Amino acid sequence: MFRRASRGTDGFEEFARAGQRRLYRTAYLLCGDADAARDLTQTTLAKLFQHWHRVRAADHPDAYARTVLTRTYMAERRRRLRDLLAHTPIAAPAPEVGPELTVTLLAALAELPPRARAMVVLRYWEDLSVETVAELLRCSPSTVKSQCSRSLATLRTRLGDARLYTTRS
Amino acid sequence: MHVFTDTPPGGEPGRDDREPLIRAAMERAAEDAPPPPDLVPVALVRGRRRRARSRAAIGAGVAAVAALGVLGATLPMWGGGAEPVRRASAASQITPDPAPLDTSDPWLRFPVHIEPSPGESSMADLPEDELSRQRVFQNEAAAVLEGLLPKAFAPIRPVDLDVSLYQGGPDGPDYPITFSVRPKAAPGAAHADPPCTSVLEKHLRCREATLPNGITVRSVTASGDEKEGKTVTGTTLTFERRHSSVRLSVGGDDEAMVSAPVTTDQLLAVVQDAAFLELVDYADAHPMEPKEHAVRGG
Repeated sequence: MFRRASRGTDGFEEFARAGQRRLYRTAYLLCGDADAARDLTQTTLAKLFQHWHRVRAADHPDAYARTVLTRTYMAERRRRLRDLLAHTPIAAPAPEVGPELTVTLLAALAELPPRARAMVVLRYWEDLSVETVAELLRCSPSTVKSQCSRSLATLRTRLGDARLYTTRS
Repeated sequence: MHVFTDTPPGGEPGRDDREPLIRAAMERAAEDAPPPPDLVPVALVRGRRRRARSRAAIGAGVAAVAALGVLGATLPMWGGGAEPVRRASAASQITPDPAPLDTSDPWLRFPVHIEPSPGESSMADLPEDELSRQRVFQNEAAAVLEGLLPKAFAPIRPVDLDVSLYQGGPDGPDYPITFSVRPKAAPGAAHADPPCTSVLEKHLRCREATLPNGITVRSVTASGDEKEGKTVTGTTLTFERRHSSVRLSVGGDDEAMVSAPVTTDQLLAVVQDAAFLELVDYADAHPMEPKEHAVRGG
């Protein structure tokens, strides 16, 4: 995803520009909403810039960025849940209008609990290993496996019995 | 990439054909996402603001650390009240601004955030080098404690308010843990500890034991006020080693009214463990906390 960050003052901009689209897409799958995805990506980039010297020194700046993005998302969801419990309910963002499959997927993802949703996105969109997802979300690999299996079943049901075939143009 | 949907040819879809479906659907959804504007300029502004806020707090933080040291040293180490460990409230665990850590570290533990009270410092106020040093230590200490304490405390995470604070337990109950290694006060500056006396009517039990390694440890188990017929019990061990006063304290969850799920004997086993003593010796040689300079137990 990202190339190794270059040294120097401008290294951040190069790093951020190279990776912002990928981060944004992951954020979009996590949030299901373009505005929220933009905010999440921007917050993530701001945090990365704040600690840029540490990010730059990391072996895998891309993994670092993904971790910050995911954990920022989880923290935000926890806050929203607390708000929901403590104050007035916050409606889940409506999926963007788009092709039917995308709408259905985003709606189905929105039905998953935040952590389960993050597991599915990291596992099947970011293509991370079970172990990496477990480490990132601070849970056991067996939890990731079982949760992903349940989530896949849920998503599969919501997406109907349609089967996808993919071709490259 | 084009994605087409069709009716399945039949048969129960197995796990193997569920994953490609979801992967393809997510690929499609990500491609459908409205293109974002360039997010970098605003991120730079917000990132600079974050840096400025962090730096502005350093000056005030240094003074507050000293003040906190005085307060910390004078906190009751025994008594009828609950262990003076501040637990992270649900609202304070939002972790709005955690410093990211190196994800290649297998011991990575995301810290629990406790918002400092007005005038109180937190680790975020420390200079970056010192902050990094303390975080590394906290991370290792959390891993060692998690390996030694009963499973109910897992996962143990650092608390970002102070290097001595940790929190154990999954999503709840939360168990506040203090692991403190403070350089001892200068000779003559500290009074002797008060006698180790149990006061049963106050649910206070004090015990001293000399461990096989020659360390004399004092344990104090105290319960908080009764609420709906329940009390929350926590235990504190204190001992001296080399140039430092060491304290390992495990509290219960006073919101969930759950006592710390550990016995005094289990805690005594923890402080005898080589891995724990290695941490103590490291912090003794490379102090993480300010020197004691108030009268202990006075």
